[in-house]
Amino acid sequence: MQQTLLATALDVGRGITSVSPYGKDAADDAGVLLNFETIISNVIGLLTVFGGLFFVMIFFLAAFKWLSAGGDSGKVQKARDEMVQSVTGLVMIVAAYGIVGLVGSIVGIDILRPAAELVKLVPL
Amino acid sequence: MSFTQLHTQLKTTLLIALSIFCVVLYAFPSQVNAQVGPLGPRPTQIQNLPPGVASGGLTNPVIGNLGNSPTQAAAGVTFLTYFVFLWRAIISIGGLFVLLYFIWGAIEWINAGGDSGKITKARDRITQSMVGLIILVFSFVIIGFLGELFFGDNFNILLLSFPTPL
Repeated sequence: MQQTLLATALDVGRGITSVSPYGKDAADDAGVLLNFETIISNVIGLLTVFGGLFFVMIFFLAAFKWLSAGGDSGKVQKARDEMVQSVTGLVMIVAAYGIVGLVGSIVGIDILRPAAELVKLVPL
Repeated sequence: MSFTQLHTQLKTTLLIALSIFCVVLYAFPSQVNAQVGPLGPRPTQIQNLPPGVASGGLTNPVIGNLGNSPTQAAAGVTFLTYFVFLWRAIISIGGLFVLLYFIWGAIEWINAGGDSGKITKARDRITQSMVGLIILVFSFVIIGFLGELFFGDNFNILLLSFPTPL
C-alpha cells in the first residue's frame, strides 16, 4: 500500500515538465533565484549605507566629545576609543563581503552565489 | 549495568557506526553521489539564464569594485585587495605623522635654548619618527625577506593562496 502511494507520488512528480522547485519551469526558476539574489544584494548595500551614516554620526559625536572634554583625560580617552571603534566598524563592514566569500570558499559553500546552491536542493 | 558502562558502550557503538558509514562513503562514492533521481538528473547550475545575465551571485552594490564579484571574493582576491588598500592608507597616515613629529621636534630644538637635555630629546623625537617611517615603508620587503628565510619556496606570505575543499 505504502509502495503504491509512493509510486503515485513519483508519477505525479514525473508529470511536471522539468525540475523546478521555485518557479513554474526552469526558466522561471532562474528568474526567481536571480531576483532573490538581487534583493539580498540590495539589502546588503542598504546596510552598508546605514553603516556609513552611523559611522559619520558617531565619529562627529566623538569629535565633539573630545572638544568638550576640557582636559579631562578620561573623557578624551573615551572619545578616542569611540573614534577608533567606529573606524574599525566601517572597515569591517566593507571587508565583510570579501571575508564572507573567503570563508565560504574555505568551507566549500558558495555563500555569495546562493542561487547556484539553492538550485542543487532539488529532491532526488 | 552502571551509567558509565552504558555511556562507554553507546560511544563505542556510535563510533563503529560512524566508521562503517565513512567506509561505505569511500567505497561506493558513485552510489552516494548518484545525481539521478526519480525527477531526473539533479541540476548543477542555474538553467536557462535570461540573456545578459552572466551568473548572478550576491554583490555589495555600494562599495564598487570591492563588492561586485563573488568569484573574486571566493578566491580571496577581494579581501587581499582591501587589505592592501588599508596597508597603503596606514603608510600614508604614518608619513603624515612623521611630518608632524619632525616639525614638533624642530620647534622643540629651537626652544631648547642651549639646554643639552632638551636638544637630545628633540633630536631623539626626529630620529625615532624617521626610523618608524623607514620600518613602515620597508615592512613589505621585511616581511618578504623573513618569509623567504623561514619558509623558503614552500610558503610565500606576500602571495597568499587560500585553501579550498577538493
